[in-house]
Amino acid sequence: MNNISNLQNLSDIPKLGSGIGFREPWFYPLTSSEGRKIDFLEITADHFMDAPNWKIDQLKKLKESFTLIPHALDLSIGSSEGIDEVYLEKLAEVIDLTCPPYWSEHLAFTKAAGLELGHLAPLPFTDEAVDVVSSNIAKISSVIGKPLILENITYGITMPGHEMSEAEFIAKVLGSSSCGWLLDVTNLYINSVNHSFDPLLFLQQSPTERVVQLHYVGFTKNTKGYLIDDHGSAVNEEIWALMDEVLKQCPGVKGTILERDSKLPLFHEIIEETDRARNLGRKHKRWN
Amino acid sequence: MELKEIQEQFVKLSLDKQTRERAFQANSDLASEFDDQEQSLKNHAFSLVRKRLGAVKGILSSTRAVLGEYFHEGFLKYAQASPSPTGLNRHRSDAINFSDWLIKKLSATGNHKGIDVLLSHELVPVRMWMSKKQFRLQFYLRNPSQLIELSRKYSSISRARISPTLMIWKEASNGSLGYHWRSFSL
Repeated sequence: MNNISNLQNLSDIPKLGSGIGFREPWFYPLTSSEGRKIDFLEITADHFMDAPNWKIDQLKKLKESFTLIPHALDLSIGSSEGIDEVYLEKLAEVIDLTCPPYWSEHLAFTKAAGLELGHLAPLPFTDEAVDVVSSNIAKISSVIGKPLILENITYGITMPGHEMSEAEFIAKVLGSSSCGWLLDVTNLYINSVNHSFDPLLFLQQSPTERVVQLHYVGFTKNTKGYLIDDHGSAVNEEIWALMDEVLKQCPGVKGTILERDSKLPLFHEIIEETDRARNLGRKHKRWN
Repeated sequence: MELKEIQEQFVKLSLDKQTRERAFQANSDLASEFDDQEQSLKNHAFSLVRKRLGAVKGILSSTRAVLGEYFHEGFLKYAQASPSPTGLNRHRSDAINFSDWLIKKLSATGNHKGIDVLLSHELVPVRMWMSKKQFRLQFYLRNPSQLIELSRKYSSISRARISPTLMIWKEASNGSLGYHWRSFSL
C-alpha cells in the first residue's frame, strides 16, 4: 500500500474529541448523565480477554454510549520471535465486540527467549527492527482488519545498535506498515527530559501527518530529578504546553485520551482535564 | 548483534538477578551490549518487581492494610525467589502464589490466624474470575467482614473472635459489577 492510500485510510477515521482511558471506578459516572461530558473511551483490551460474563456485559453497556478504542498491551509487536497468536485471537474477539474505527498497541516488545517481561521495552532504532515490526504487523493485519496506530513509549534503557534517530525510526515503521501514530505527549516529554533532547525538534523531524490520537497524563519526579510515567498525577503545565504545540503541528489528530491509571481522582477532576484538552483541540480546529 | 540476541539478553538480564550479577563481573561477555548500563538495568529490574507489587497490593488491599510494611518487605523477598507468572492472569496468579507464601511464613511463627481468612476472602473473586465460576460457597471459623472492619480501623485482627461463618458468593448480573457476597453466622 503506498503512502497516499495509507494516509487516506487514516483520514477516513472520524473525529472523536476528548476522551479518557476507561477505569472501573468510573463505570457508574460514565453511564450516568455525567458521562455525556466525555466524548469517547479507550479500553484496555487485555482486561476484557477471557473475561467473565459481567465484564463483557460492562463492555456492551459502555458501547451503547461511547465509541470504544481497544488499546492492547502484550502483542509484543517488536518481538523478533514473532507474534503471540493465542493473544492475537483473543484481541481480535475484543475488537470484533467493540467495532472501533481503529485500535492501538505499542512500538515496543514485551517477550523474548520464551520469557515475558510484563512491561514494555524499547526497540533499537535499526532497519532490522523496522523489518521485524512490519512483518509482525502484516501477520496481525491478516487477522484484524481495522487500522492500527502505534504508541511511542518511555525508555530508561537505551537499546544498543541505533542506526537512526527515534523520529526517523517511527517514520520508517509507520510508513512501511500503513499504521498511524498514537503520540503519547507525556512519554515524549518524559524522554526529552530524561534523555536531554528538544521535544519540539523531535516533532519537526517526525511524521506528524500520521498522528491519529494523543495520550496525556501527569508525571512525577524522583529525588534525582528523573521523571516517572506513573500515570498517577494531574496533568502538569509542561504537558499542556507540549500538547498545545502537538495539536498545532499534527493536522490529523482525531482524539485525545487522558490516561490516568492510579491514584484516581474524583470524576469531576477528570472532566476538568478533558474539558481543557477539548478546548485545545477546538483552538487548533481538530474538532468542533 | 542481531535484534533477537539483543532482546533475549535484555529480557534475561531484566528478570534474573543471578544472570545480571554474573554478566557484570569482570571478564564476562554475557552483557556485552549493555556494559555501560548496569545501574539502569538494576533500576529496571527493580521497577518490574514494584509493578508486580503494585498489582498484588490492589488485589490484597485489606491484607496489606493489616500487615503494613511486612506485606511490602515480604513481597520483595517472595518476588526474588519467584519469577513472575505469565499470561493474561499473571497478576492474579501472582496474588495467589504470594498468598500461599505469606501463609507459610506466618504459620511458621503462629501469626497466621485471621490473615489466612482475610487472604482467602480477598482471593475468592480472583479465583472466580479465573475459573469462570458464577457461584461459590466458603466456610470460615472467623467472619471475614469483621476482619475487614478491624483492618479499616487499623486494629489488630487477632481481636476477631471465633465466629463460624458461611459466605455465599455470586457473579453480578443485570448491570451490576463484579462479585457480591452475603455472610451468614452459624
